[in-house]
Amino acid sequence: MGPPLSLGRGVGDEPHRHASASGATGGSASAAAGSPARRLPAADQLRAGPDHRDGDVHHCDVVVIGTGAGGAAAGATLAEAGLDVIFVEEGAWHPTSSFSPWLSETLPRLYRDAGTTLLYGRSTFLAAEGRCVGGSTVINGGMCWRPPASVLAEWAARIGPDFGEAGLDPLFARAERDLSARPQDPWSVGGDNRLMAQGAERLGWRHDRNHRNHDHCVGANTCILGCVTGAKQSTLVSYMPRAMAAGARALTELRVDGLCIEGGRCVGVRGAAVDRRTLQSSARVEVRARAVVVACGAIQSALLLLRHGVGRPSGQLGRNFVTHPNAKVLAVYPDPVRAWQGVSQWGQVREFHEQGIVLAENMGPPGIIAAAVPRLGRAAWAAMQQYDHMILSGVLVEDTSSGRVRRGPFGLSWPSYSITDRDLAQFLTAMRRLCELHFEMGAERMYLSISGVDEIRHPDQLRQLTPDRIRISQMELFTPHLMGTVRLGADPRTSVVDAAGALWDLPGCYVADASLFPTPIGVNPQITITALALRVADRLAETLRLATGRAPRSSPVARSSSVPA
Amino acid sequence: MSGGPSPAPWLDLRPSQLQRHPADGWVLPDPMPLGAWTSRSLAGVIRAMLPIGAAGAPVDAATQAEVDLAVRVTLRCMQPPLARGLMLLFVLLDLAPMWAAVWRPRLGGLRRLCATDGPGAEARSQRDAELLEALSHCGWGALRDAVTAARAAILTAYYDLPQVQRAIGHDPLPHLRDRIALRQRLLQGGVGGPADHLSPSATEVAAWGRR
Ligand SMILES: Cc1cc2nc3c(=O)[nH]c(=O)nc-3n(C[C@H](O)[C@H](O)[C@H](O)COP(=O)(O)OP(=O)(O)OC[C@H]3O[C@@H](n4cnc5c(N)ncnc54)[C@H](O)[C@@H]3O)c2cc1C
Ligand code: SF4
Repeated sequence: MGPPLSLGRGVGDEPHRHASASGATGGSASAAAGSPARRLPAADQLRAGPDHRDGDVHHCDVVVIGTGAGGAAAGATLAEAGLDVIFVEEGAWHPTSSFSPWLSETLPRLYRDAGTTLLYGRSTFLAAEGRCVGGSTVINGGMCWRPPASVLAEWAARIGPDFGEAGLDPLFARAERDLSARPQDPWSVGGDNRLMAQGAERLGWRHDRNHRNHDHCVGANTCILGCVTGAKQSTLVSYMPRAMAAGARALTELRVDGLCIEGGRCVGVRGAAVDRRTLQSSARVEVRARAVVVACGAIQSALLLLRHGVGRPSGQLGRNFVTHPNAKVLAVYPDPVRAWQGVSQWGQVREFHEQGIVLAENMGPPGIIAAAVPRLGRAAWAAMQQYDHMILSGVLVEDTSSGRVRRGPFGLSWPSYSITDRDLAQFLTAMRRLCELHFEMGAERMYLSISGVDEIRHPDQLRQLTPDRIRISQMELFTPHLMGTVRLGADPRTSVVDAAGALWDLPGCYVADASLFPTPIGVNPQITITALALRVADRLAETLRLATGRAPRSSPVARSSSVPA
Repeated sequence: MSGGPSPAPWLDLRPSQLQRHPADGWVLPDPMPLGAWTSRSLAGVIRAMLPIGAAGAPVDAATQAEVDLAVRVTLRCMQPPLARGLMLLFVLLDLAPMWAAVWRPRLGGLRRLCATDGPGAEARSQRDAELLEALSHCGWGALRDAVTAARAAILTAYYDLPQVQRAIGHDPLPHLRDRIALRQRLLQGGVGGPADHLSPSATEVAAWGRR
């Protein structure tokens, strides 16, 4: 462990954060999560918003920016390799004990921009990103799919055999073990999932059971609000506790806004604490390190690097932004389905996967469903009386185009992405099929996320879902998967980082998150991000250890299924 | 369903009571301060979107204030230029009865949505909801998107309120307590049994459908 982070002063009327928080977690947290170990890290390892002091300078071997799927895995690997690691995270450390089913509390705490991040294009749409310790893994569904063999074959051809199926297999296996990827237990499966599986079976469609990153998931179905039971193996409860146990430190509620570059080499980062009440920048802080790992997610990593004009050889920085956009079908059944109970996505309809289409349910709390019903006032109220009868389901379509992340006017981040005419046709085909499945299972009516299309009550109405009648601008899309923008590759003329994740034109700076993807993968990305981050961290650890001759701090622990976090 | 005291007492707190979160000391950001005109506009749009006059729907002043608070906290969290855009949108929608009168005379009129005094207020609210709904289906994409954005901000906040959820027959807390207790049992070596399964059952579901 590096030098302890001394206790800072509290700000204003707030009691010292660590004191108040650990006091609380000793009670409700342990009870909620089933383990007294489920508390915030000790104050000498964690410094939060109010405790940062203007002018603070920290020193370490590696500073990792971001604690999501990529950053936490990379940081834990580096810490366990004996390196002194500091995480810098813009969001706060919210333990499992603090998660609740209320959106108006959860969105401001766990989501970037409280869930209002937009992608601009022919149909402007919402993108979700986590902003908390654990990043998007805290609010994700936990689905775990390796990329199809065809994708990895393309990666191997572009970059080298290390990025093919055989080359990445040990890393996938390690990530799956670390995150406890496995099928669901029967008591976690709700009526909506059974209904989707049954519908697929009747239509003769393939329905595959998901592996999910979980340890005794019990189907609480608050995955997107933070798993209230602690079962979902987000990095908050998997890699971060491991990293902290190996001596890493974390500076939270600190937004990195620049890299320190000296003599053409990246030697640290600087940023500002985020005031909890105003969300404005406060104390300026610097972290000096031998290596910097950028893992802020596909949008934020690109924006940070763009400030420094790096990625110049290829001009690819910010480009190749892919998103797996999805569209929703809200089905209303005559009987109560209680889709809000039971795990999200026990399985997926994969009959059309070869065509780049996946169908699945993903129910949300009433606040999310109300936004999906195109009604207001009393009409919305009447529709919401049937919340228990509703299933929110979605179609995920593989990208055929890519967008770009840029810095926009007035300080806006400007991620742009448009679906193509071909994608539109895919979406409409997929939505028709999903509606067919719901009709097959007896749904009475459906609301589609296509503005201007009223509710669907009869299969004949599905004929209107054709590209000559629906415009791209009518599609109300959403994406939780943001990838690409800092492409990894073997050639500096076509990529931004090399096969070790190092920037071609900025020594000392590495990338370890979703932005590395050379191409879209067509499946949920977390496990692939983690596998790539492990590779970047392994190689970086080797490089830095060779330079210092330090031994690993502890060998990576094989996680038993009940290790608390 | 497991009985006994709640293993997670914070589940019972409403977001608006969470001045400081009991489990991590974190505070919700301050609501965005709005000028008097914008404030009234936001109140008007909220009112037009809530189910005023629907039997059993909680729409009292306190409930409207809670929605207002949640929207303002969201505004604070948004990227500032987008937040300013959403505030402007509330002002424009508040004036919708005037500018949309040209297009939908039956629903329009020389008034703001926030002008709720006087006789016939309930009927006017219903017309206002219809007007905004008509705008959300209109041929102009930017306007459609604008109403969709306002609807998402307001209805998400409204249907997130515990009293509103109870009124539509939804209470997530017993389910969550039950699941937390089940996981504790499993972690202590217990096994899940039929009583722990979530309904409807596989047999029930198999019986559904058109065949
Ligand atoms: C609702 C939802 C559901 C999903 N479901 C699934 C699923 O079921 N399966 C799956 O495989 N994937 C899923 N995903 C996607 C998956 O979670 C993400 O792709 C993955 O977590 C991205 O990893 P990352 O490391 O690139 O970024 P993130 O996990 O987003 O982490 C980035 C971190 O960096 C921090 N950060 C950003 N900028 C800065 C800065 N300037 N300074 C300091 N810190 C910063 C952020 O706060 C964040 O914590 C889902 C995502 C969402 C949002
Ligand atoms: S379904 Fe519930 S228990 Fe399972 S991972 Fe999601 S929130 Fe956790």
